[in-house]
Amino acid sequence: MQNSKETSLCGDRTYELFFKAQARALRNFLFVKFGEMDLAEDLVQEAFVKLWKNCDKVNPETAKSYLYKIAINLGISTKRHDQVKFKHQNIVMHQNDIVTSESPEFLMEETEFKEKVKRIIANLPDRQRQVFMLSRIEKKTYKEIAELSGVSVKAVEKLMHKALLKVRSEIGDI
Amino acid sequence: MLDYCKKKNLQGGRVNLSNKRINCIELIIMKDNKLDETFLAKWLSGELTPDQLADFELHPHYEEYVRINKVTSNMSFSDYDEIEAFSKLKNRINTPKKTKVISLYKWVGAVAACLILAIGLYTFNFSDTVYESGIAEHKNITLPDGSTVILNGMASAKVDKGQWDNSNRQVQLDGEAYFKVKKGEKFSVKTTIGTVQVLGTQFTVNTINDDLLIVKCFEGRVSVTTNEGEVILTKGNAYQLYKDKGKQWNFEALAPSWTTTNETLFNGVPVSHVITSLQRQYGVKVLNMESISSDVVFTGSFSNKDLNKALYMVFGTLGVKYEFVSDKEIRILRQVKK
Repeated sequence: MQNSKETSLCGDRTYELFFKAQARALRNFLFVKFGEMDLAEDLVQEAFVKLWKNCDKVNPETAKSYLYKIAINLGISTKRHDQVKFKHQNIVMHQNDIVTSESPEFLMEETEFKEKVKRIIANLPDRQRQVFMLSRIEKKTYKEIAELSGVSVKAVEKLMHKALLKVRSEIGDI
Repeated sequence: MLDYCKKKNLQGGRVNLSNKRINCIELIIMKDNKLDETFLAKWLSGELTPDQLADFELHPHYEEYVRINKVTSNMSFSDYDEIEAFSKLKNRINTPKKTKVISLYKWVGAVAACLILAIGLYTFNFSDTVYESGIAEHKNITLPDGSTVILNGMASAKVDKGQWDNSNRQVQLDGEAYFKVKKGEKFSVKTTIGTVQVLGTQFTVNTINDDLLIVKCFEGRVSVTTNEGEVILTKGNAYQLYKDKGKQWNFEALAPSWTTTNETLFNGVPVSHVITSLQRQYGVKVLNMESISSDVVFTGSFSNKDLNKALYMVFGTLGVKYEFVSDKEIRILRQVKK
């Protein structure tokens, strides 16, 4: 209630800007966490509806963690207990890494390799997968990941190390 | 070999023979030495020292690691249409966009209809313009700004016409009332328990015995300020404050029951307060109320048209026996233990 009207999230413009700034990262974070894109996008909606309802009570500076907290809690309570397999189809490659001068055989092999990597990282143990994807795909620093998942940087690094070891060894096995 | 690497503190371990170097790095990465559990993470983030990197380049799987690094750094998640997502969100919110009451100006529609119901024992001590209605009487009032108020039976509304301010409209309410508020700035309804402020369009307020406040929001947004703080309600939210204990719930009705089915509806309200409401509705007096335990709560409705039916609906469900002493007096006999 103490927030001035201009900076409070109750302002149309502020709210919209906040959405545009946070929604994508939140959605990807939730996808990484829960493995389902539809669920992730629904959770983004729910969390922002809740934020709107409490816009005058939430300090804009802590709004981000408020948002993540709500979405995660909702996700945990929504997600069915049977473990949903991570949908690796939602991982896409940037267009710019296709080098057209390469031979078709090479491109084929390259595509297969990418598919393999996607499948492997999708099947990593939960915590390794989350950390690995946030780092490699979402380009978050270990510090950011540590803050998001409430663990130490060291723990994040260990998980990253384990994840990469596992990805490498499974590539080798195939 | 292992001993050699340990002696050299592992990562720094450089051996002349290339195959020995490899073994050292194998150890660094593969063996469960706590110092090295973050080695690959440090490599990915470019935090290895040049020496460590040079060692790692000799690792038999180095090329594979490089390839994985390259491929994964080119990955992203399927696209997200933020604009569509935001417009979907806007539809979900579906209310005026600002808590500022000023935003009513921007609101389409000439009239924000506010429905205010209050039942209480509060009497006004001020000599300003006080409007009162008798038992079962409906009374129309027009406020200085053109807003209208319809008082239900046994209600009163106090308006300070001398101090009326179009930028801060205030009405003090006791009883039941239906408000049709002209668009404009701040409009608040004061009760003994708290203040209800119009942020959107339709809501009911119900105060009973000076310690129970019920606010239901039927459309738009409503702010309720009490000693417990401020609560914002949106469509389908209800808030009840009894003896400093607040609770919130959701409902689906589109309009208050007393305007549609002519019933008074309660959700977990102390029975003494239900009786107060009943007395107001019918102008009767209930005697021997003490014989009903004060923690009995009532959830349900009673008819506003038929006293016998209403008594049956309240006391019947609670297992309370009663008798008419006169036309206007009802005595409670006892509560049958269930």
